[in-house]
Amino acid sequence: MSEDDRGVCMFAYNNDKIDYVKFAHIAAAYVKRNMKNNKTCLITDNGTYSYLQDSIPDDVHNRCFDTVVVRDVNHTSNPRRHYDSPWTEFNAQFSNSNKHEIFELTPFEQTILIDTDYFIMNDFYDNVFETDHPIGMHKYAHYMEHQPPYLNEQQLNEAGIHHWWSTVVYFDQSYESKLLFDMWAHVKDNWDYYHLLYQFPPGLFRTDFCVSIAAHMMNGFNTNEFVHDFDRQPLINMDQKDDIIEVKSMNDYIILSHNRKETWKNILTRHVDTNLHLMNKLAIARHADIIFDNLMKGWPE
Amino acid sequence: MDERLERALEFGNYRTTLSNQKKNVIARMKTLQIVHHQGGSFVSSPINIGFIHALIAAGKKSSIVLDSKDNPIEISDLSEFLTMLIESYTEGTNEYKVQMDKLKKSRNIKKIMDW
Repeated sequence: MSEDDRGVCMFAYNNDKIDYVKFAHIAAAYVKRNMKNNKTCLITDNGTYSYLQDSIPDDVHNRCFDTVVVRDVNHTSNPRRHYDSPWTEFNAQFSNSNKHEIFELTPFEQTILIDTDYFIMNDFYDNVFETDHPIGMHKYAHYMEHQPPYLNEQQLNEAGIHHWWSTVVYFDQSYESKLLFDMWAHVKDNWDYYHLLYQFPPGLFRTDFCVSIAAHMMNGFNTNEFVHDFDRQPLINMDQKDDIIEVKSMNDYIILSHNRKETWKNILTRHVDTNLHLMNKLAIARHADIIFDNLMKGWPE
Repeated sequence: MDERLERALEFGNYRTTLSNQKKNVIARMKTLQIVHHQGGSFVSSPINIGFIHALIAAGKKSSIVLDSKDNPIEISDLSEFLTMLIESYTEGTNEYKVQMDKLKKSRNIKKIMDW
């Protein structure tokens, strides 16, 4: 399969608090700078696309994305509480109800779907295109100081099935991949039933829970390894209560890690050439200009 | 604050930061030492390198080798595979050594952060 048939997709739907389309351009630029299979596709709606045309210069946009799919979606209300450090919190709409439609929307034969707050800072994911796996997701994760995820990010409930992350989803156009996305849609459509069956909190619609249920089924209601777990490599999360202190260069971040148990403790951590899931959105926004500057430096035309 | 306590707390924070950075460097090395070949996932561990070398020494040109998840993978060219494993192992350990040497010289948090 040629490099043109492989690529990275991301969804971006802005709300009044978070400029996801700006993050998408940063995430896409990271793909371009750090991966070999670096075709990119943005999926958005008309409102966000109009904002994009006003807010992102054409040359930057054209360098970041090869394809844009504009499709209006009727997003259901899904308010999410966000933190920006331990001391600031706010609510914002979380528009993730059509993420499963990526199977039809992607222009690629082999696709990696990433969230716009996931910055790829090495070429690890190029490897997955060379495997025979139809589906891949992260099964494991840790936070900035290698702390394990919250309990509900390890299992759907205390005695529940394993949690899988939908932050990075690799898939091809196989029957098995279609099954996963159909199941994802089915869980979404029957959210009230599945939250009772799997005993997870129903308040916020989380695609992680959809893929966890789908992965559980596709693994034969077991823990076998049909769904590729990216070689047990963990997803590295920056918590919403952590903060970016400095972006030293394109792939070099200093992040203040907030201790959840001893909340008076904060420790500096440094991450070089490491793929990062930066959950504190406003921290990204505060550093977006310097991140863009670093990405543009030395980027061949 | 008592100066002795302040210094001890600062040192404690430095040791925590250093420990986290060592974990990051080791994690990076382990990522670099993953090799994908002919549909399988392998780690370029000394064991795997030694085993492939032993197969070649026994006159094998190709062989079935179990990958990290115990999948049987047909390796058509063992010499080429050995080269890949050694390159990946060396890349990972070189990076590890460079970063660890840098950390060893960093006697406080500011040095670790290059401030």
